[in-house]
Amino acid sequence: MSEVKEKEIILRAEGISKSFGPTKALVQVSFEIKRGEVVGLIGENGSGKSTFSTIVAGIQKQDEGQLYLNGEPYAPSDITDAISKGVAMVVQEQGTFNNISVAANIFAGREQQFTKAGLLDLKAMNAAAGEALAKIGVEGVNPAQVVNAMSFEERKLLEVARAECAEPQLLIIDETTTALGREGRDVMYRLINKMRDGNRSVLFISHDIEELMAICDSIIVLRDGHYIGALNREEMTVGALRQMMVGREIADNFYRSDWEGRLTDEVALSAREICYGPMKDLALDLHKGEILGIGGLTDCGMHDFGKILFGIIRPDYGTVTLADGTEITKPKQAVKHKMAYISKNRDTEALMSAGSVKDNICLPNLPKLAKGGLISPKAETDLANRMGETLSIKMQGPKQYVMYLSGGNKQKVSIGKWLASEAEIYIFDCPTRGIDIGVKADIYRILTDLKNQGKAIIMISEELPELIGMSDRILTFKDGAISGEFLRDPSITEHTLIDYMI
Amino acid sequence: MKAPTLTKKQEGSKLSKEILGTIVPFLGLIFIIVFFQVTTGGKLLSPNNLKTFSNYAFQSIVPACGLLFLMSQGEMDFSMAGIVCISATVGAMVSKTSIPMAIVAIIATALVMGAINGAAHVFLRVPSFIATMAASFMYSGLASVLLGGGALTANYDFKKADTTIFKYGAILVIMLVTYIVFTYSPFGKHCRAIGAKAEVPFQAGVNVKMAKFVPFLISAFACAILAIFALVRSCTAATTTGANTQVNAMLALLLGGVPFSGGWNSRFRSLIIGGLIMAVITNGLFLLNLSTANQQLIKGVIFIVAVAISFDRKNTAVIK
Repeated sequence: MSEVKEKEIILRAEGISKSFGPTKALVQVSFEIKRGEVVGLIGENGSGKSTFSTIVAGIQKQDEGQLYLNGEPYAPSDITDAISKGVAMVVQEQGTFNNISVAANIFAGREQQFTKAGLLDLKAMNAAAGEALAKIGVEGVNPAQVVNAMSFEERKLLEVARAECAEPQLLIIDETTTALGREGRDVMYRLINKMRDGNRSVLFISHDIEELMAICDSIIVLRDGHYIGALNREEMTVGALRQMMVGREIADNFYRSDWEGRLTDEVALSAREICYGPMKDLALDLHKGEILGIGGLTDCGMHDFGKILFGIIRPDYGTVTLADGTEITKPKQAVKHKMAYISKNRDTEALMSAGSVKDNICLPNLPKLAKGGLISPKAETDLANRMGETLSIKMQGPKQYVMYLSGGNKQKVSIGKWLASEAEIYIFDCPTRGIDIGVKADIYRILTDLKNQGKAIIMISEELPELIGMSDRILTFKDGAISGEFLRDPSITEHTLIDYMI
Repeated sequence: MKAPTLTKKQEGSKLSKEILGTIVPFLGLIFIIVFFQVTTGGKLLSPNNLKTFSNYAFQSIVPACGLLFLMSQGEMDFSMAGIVCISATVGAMVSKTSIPMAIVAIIATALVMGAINGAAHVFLRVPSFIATMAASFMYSGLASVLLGGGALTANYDFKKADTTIFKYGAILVIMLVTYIVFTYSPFGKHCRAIGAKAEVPFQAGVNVKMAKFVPFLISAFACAILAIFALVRSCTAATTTGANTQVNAMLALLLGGVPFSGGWNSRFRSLIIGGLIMAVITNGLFLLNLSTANQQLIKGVIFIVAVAISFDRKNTAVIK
């Protein structure tokens, strides 16, 4: 590519502002994206990243300001209009249609190209879908298959294929990699590199600073709706980015600061001879006052193992018992014996998004709130307010629906309902998935507090720095077996763990 | 906090939708009262109509109370008419010996039917509307056999309870109990939580199977009360006894704004407004001396409009 082309600006934002009622989501944001550039966009929850990207993608409109695409004023009327102008987006939430095939999802809204005499040529559409998937490097997905049974990860890749199919000049990827495992991420990175090589541009939104630094040519930081600045490759450091995002230095006490091990040898929960799927004869003891980290690849079985410990999944063989010998076979029993489980699938298993903060927080605590079999609305509101304060949940009030909260605050609600239950044993599955560092730090603080109160904690995570930074003991999983055990030590590195995971 | 993927326009329409769901049923009630008051020449709100109205109110509010718990879970009971019919038949037969025994028999029969519905849905995992629709054939078939195609006369002492005060009293008590259990008990909240997303209460330690089973017993119990009411009114059990019970219940709840999909937007006040709207409409149509065909025509139109307003579209998978 010639020097001139490299410098060409594909998207320019001038003074973009957007408010939601009293909340200012974006305030006079201006910046440029050049052709052939991969630009990262980072900021805490509520910093305006998603608002900005959805405006560019035509999902909503700015209140003030002007966008320019290739030097021309650009105001997409909707998503389809944006796509036709060369801007496509992969959204943060699930964006696939249930009950229809992979191919129908990929070509949703563009079926005309396969229509002959009013009838849809399914064969041609399936073939084209197969090609589209192959083009981004996804294999082993049947285009005729209905999407319902597909994993969240596979669906995300399908959305990527859909966006790529439109051959956009600017591709916006919003928080997608948090939902992906290693393979999915590789697919995404390959696609991003291909975009760059083809002199096209990518706006990449992620919470993962390391990831952004690895793939982006420059990173733009937003904070509270304001444009804070942009760093190019030479200027990028984790510390600098964190500081720009939060506006203060937080790197020092991000994880636990102590390197002491667990507090007691008292066992709180034991699993013996667990067999399920790839798991064979798994055993572990969880102690009071310890954070037990479990790490591995997405499909190593650790997520199912967490559910087995809580009785959500019945193993084919084996037992989960408490210190007093009680066997856990159902969530009902687990809850009764002061256990708590926070699913990694926040929106499908942990929260009723069409329910209020109050209803969500009170759900496992209803028996405790009931007096004479009935629950007073005041008791519910008080509990929700108390948790809202303890966890500093940003909400309009306990009656606000959870679907209107940001990701980090949703996660706080899902932790809040169990804190309120005063559980003794906590199973956190990916507690900081898709959450920015401000809330992450809050959650690490909660974990440390719980540990110091002598609670027993299991933290299942795909993020190695978090496992190393927070755990008293780490177990690595590989193909359904425990492949290594590490006691808390500053000398453990990500490489040490990865060797045992792959 | 803002909602990043919701546009202002969508948020606005969401809000106005919520307001619609609350205000429209109330305005609807007032409109319908005024409409029938005028068209019937003031007959609707006259003391003479009080007794007639009690019957219509009973037939819309009591089944709605029974169905509320199921509908808040997004489930349905299409066998209510069949349950009313068969338990009224059993009641008529037993009433020849003793009325208290007949009442016990009616309740027991209804609860057995409810348990069958619940078992088919919870343990055999048949979707509730299929399970109960299939069951309704079974129940009405069974009732026809017992009735021998005709009608059965019950003990005439039933007639003694056919007073306006008794009926209004019963409606109030049933409504009060339903209100308290639905709004303030853990069970009522579990029902709505299941309607919102069943996996969440399951992981929160709720006995979801039990919470899905019991509402079938509640709807059956409401049917038992309706069966007793039918015998009180006419001292007869016939194949037409209880006809349209589930339609009345469903219409009342939908008209009041309980979403078809259940969840936390299911509220008790919807039942009161919807139940009254239904009662006024049926009462009004009767006072207008309309033919059954015309009555059904009008009911059908109302049904479609109610569903169009209240159906919760966000639970269908659409990209926001």
